[in-house]
Amino acid sequence: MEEDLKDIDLIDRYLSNELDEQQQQVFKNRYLNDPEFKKEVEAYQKIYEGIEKAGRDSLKQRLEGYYNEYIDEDLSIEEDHKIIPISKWRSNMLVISGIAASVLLVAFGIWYFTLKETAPSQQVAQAPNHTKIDSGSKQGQYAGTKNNPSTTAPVKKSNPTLPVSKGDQYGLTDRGKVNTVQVLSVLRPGLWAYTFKDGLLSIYNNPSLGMIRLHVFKTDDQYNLWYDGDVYRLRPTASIQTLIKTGQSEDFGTKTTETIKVQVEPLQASANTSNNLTVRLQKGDEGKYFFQTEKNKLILELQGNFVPADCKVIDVKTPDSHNWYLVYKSTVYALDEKNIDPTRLKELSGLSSEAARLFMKRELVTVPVYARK
Amino acid sequence: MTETQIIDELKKGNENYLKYLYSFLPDVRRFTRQNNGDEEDAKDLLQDAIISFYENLRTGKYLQNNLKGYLLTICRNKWFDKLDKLKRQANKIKDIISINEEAEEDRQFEFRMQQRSLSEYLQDALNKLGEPCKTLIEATVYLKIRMEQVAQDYGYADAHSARQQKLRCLKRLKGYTSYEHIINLI
Repeated sequence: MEEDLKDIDLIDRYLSNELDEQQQQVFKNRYLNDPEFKKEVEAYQKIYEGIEKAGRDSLKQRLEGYYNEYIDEDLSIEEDHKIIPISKWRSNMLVISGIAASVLLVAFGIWYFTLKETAPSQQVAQAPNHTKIDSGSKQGQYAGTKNNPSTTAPVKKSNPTLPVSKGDQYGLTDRGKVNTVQVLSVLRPGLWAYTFKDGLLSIYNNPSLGMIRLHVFKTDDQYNLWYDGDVYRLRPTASIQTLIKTGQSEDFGTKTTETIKVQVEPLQASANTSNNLTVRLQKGDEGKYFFQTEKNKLILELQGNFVPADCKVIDVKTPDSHNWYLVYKSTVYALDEKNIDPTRLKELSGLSSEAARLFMKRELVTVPVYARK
Repeated sequence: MTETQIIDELKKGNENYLKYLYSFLPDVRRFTRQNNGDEEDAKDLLQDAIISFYENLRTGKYLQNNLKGYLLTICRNKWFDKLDKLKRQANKIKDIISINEEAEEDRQFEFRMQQRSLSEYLQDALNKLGEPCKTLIEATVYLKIRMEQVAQDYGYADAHSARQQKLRCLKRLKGYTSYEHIINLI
């Protein structure tokens, strides 16, 4: 145990009921004879109590959201090992607009003629339903895998420069739009940038910025950003501007009652579209991928239960390396270009991977504005 | 979605699967209707039961295999507790003169206001702390998930290094506040 963590280690074990009899005695002695230690224990006791309350309260708030999802989606729990009834699909089908439905019919026609190998009725049921958790993994899989060269895919009209994905039918979402996976690239370290409008400061290109070291202060009517002793000027702007350092100072003034909101944007918010890679996405329960080269072009073959519109493949370039990541909603996967055989997708945890944290949407924070003469 | 699937996902920390548990709401409604309650009561009861269930599940204390029965039992117990309390309060109020009653209500209100503030302060402080600390602290202090499990779930080398990180986070969290400040929050 690191020296400076020894006290808190002891206190944590006390508060978690993990001390044995002998340790309890040691704890008690210190508690009675060391007033500083006693205060420390009391403060942590309060913090632990607060963490439990805060945890429960925020779970309560999130449950309100889940309740609303339940209302919207009409969820039900099946008995174990039962097949999902088709009626659910039918009710979903009814809400799809006429246009979307006709797109689906055309798409169905294409699939039917290109994918005769699998039972067509299953595929149709899959399409409007694929975002639902309860059905996605149950029903028929698409054909058209890498091992199935006889399958030809329909030509995608929206983006003729991209080779057509073999899993293209998946690109048709339940809203009837055709989507492709976005490929982005971003340089690290990049220049800090910002937008500042209507009391909201968004900071780009520094996703791991520590809020505790950041302050906003005003001199006259001019807003400034203070970060670790460096001062940057903030001008109201709706388009992304580079942050320009105007000086250094230890002093950021005194707190006022004014507050502004600060959003630290994830790395992908400042990434540019890239055409160094083509992504072919196909549906499958298991998340897998591999890279290959076709006619000097790098291709990423991706399989998984993904909605293409929510997928981003991002190339993070540093002066001496570059790494691919797949960001799907709030989940981050590392992609290794060396994998030329199907490889299981490796999920990065925000708790353990610094890279993963770069892509995570951070909470909007309200900070006080300081004033300096 | 089956019960087993839901529990598996929840154990992995995929919390949004909790939404499926609201499908027991009609059963809870039937129960409250038969026992002097209304629809709002049913929703609140089920919400509290879901929280108890989820806390127990994550801590490894949920060992049943009948989720519906489990949740309904919690709802039942909570509801009868509440009715008891209301009954006792009603009896008490009869004995107390109205001024005292008002004073008690004021105290209760004050108490609730302050109660909100410790929770709110910690919510703010945890947000300020950011990741990975926030999740780590919630997982270990609130949900009391074992360190071995935390290390495995969140990719730490072992329980020891996860624990070191947790303690460092707690230390930082405490650094945001002073003894005088935190001790007066309720």
